[in-house]
Amino acid sequence: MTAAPRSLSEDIHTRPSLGEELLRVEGLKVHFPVRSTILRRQLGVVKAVDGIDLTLAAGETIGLVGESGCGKTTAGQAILRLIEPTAGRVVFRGSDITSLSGRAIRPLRREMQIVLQDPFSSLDPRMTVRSIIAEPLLVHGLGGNSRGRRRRVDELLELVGLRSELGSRFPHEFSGGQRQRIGIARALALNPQLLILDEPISALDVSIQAQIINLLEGLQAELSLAYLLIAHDLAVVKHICDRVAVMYLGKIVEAGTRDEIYETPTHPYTQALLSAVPIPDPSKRGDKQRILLEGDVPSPQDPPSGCRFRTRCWKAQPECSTEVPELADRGEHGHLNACLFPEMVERSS
Amino acid sequence: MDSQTTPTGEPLLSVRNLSTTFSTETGLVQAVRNVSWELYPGEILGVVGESGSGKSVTMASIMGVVPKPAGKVSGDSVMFEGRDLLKLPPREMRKIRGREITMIFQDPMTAFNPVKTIGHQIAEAIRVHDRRVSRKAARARSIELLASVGVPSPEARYSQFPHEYSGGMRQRAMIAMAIANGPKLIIADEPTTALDVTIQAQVLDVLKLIQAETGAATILITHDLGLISEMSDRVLVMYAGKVVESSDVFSVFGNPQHPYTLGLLASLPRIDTRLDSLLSIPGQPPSLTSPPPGCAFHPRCELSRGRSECWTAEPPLVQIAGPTDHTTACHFFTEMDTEAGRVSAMLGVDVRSKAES
Repeated sequence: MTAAPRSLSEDIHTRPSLGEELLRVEGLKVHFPVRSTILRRQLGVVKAVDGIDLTLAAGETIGLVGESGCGKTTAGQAILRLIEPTAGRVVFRGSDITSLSGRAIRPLRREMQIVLQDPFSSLDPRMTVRSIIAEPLLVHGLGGNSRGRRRRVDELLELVGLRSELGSRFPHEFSGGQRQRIGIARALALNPQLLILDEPISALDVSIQAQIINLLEGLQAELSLAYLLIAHDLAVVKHICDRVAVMYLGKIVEAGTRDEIYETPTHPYTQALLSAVPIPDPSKRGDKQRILLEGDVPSPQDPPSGCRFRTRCWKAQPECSTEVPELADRGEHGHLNACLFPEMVERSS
Repeated sequence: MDSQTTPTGEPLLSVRNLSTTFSTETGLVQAVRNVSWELYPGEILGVVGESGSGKSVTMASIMGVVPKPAGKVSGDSVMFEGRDLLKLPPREMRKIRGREITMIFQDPMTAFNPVKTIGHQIAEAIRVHDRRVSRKAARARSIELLASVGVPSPEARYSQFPHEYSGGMRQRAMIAMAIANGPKLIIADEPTTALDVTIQAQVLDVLKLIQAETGAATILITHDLGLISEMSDRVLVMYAGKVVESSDVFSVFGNPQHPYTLGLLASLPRIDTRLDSLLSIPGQPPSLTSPPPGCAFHPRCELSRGRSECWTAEPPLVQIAGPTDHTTACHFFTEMDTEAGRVSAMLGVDVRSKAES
């Protein structure tokens, strides 16, 4: 982090063409120190994110899935530098943003926005919806005068399916689904190229979830947005994402296209995860072999040596405790996995 | 496939015209509106609905734990083994709660007392209902129970506090406590909602095992249609404080007879099949202080198409002609097959379960 802040290339605000690389994450690590309560001595580190690589093209959706504590949310925040990464690079359209100063990174924030999970705590209860959505415009000095901003907010409200008269109301007057629409409108205010969606629907009722999924899909097509979707719901990820990365204890254990991950998973964790999802069709009850994993996820402060999944893996061998499996293409599967003994399992879809 | 489709014999629990209201600052909330249903011995009854549909309040009303004086429970009867739970004095009700009817809650962290050990709490649950059991015997029985739900090294775990347990382990301990007194009915309210999917699979496995072993009838409350489909024998679909559809699980998923049930199926992203798009249910669940007149679902209903019956007359829960005990509360349920065909065409897939019983 010693390099002098470089300025971003000028054309960063021009829209990239579809398929062009937008974001590249290399070896991203986020470690949190654990300190004693009184003397603040460092007792250890929680390796929340421990070396992940990702790429995302313009207009594409990639899903980062995993269970609670796997580091998916931390990864998302570190990519935006809402949390400082411990190591690794985040490259947005060719510029390394990990070394930029707070001031230098500001233009870039216009292009990368986030939608948070909880639509109840992520909106300031004392601001009107209109001022919530206009705030990013004010901060970045965009949208012109107050009339211009007003027009832009009306436009945004309409874009997310809310009537513009609702702008003068406060967040508590809205339901969960409507609040999530407000959160999305705020994220879109600066016309970004990338949205990080951190569990955008998991706090919503079943009948409302599909509304928000459809809204997000519509917006993506209309505005050619790239999405990084952070979620634990494997069915939602399957429905929305082009590519999927599966995380376990701070590392990506398998990555590939949607079909590769859902139809021919190779990592035992992915296989177990997919087999554990209940299917809303009672006629398929006996169809699949459910893989029951033993025990709980180990503490990220003291992860197992070698492969982190080995303590719960049914086919762990002695090598698994000594050798750290890298995320690599191990032949014949066509996509990346981090398992010394990958096996392709065909799943009906 | 071990479920019988039409239950026979005497119901274990029979709810007749139960209503529960809460008086709040904004008005009278009609949380449960005149519901009637039965539960048969040994079956798993899945109750599905969104938040605010009245599924948890129904159970609280049966258990007699609706907060007073804000909450008011009325109705004809809730018969449980020949006794009307609505008319039982609190003293008698206390003997039933925790012994004959037990509950498993969503969040075991708040359901357990944080300053007492898990083992102590299970032993207490045993001794509260039977003072003749010695402390030593209660301890031994608790350890046995912890072992039976798959808590590793139960002896050591007995004297640990709730915070020393992981989420999945706490839920196992909760199940152990629920079966401690050999209940006839277990009410599981969103038992795995707070858990990760791999841990959920473990806990469901334990729940199934326990259910098969004890033979206790189980009510599984959840918003997750996947869970309902995999676990239950029969299903109640609730909307705005009412039962809108009920049948055996294969008929509800294979031949839904209420637009809300079909709407839920069509709006669900699936892992087992690919949908061209999702059909969302428009609008949002109604306020229960002033539920819509007529059918409470009509403002969101695709089948209604503004027909006046839907907002003038409340559809009764009627029996559908057929081999199974399938009921629905929709004026136009005879159009449901056509409606399902229309929905399937839009999704590119028939979302109904293939094996109709």
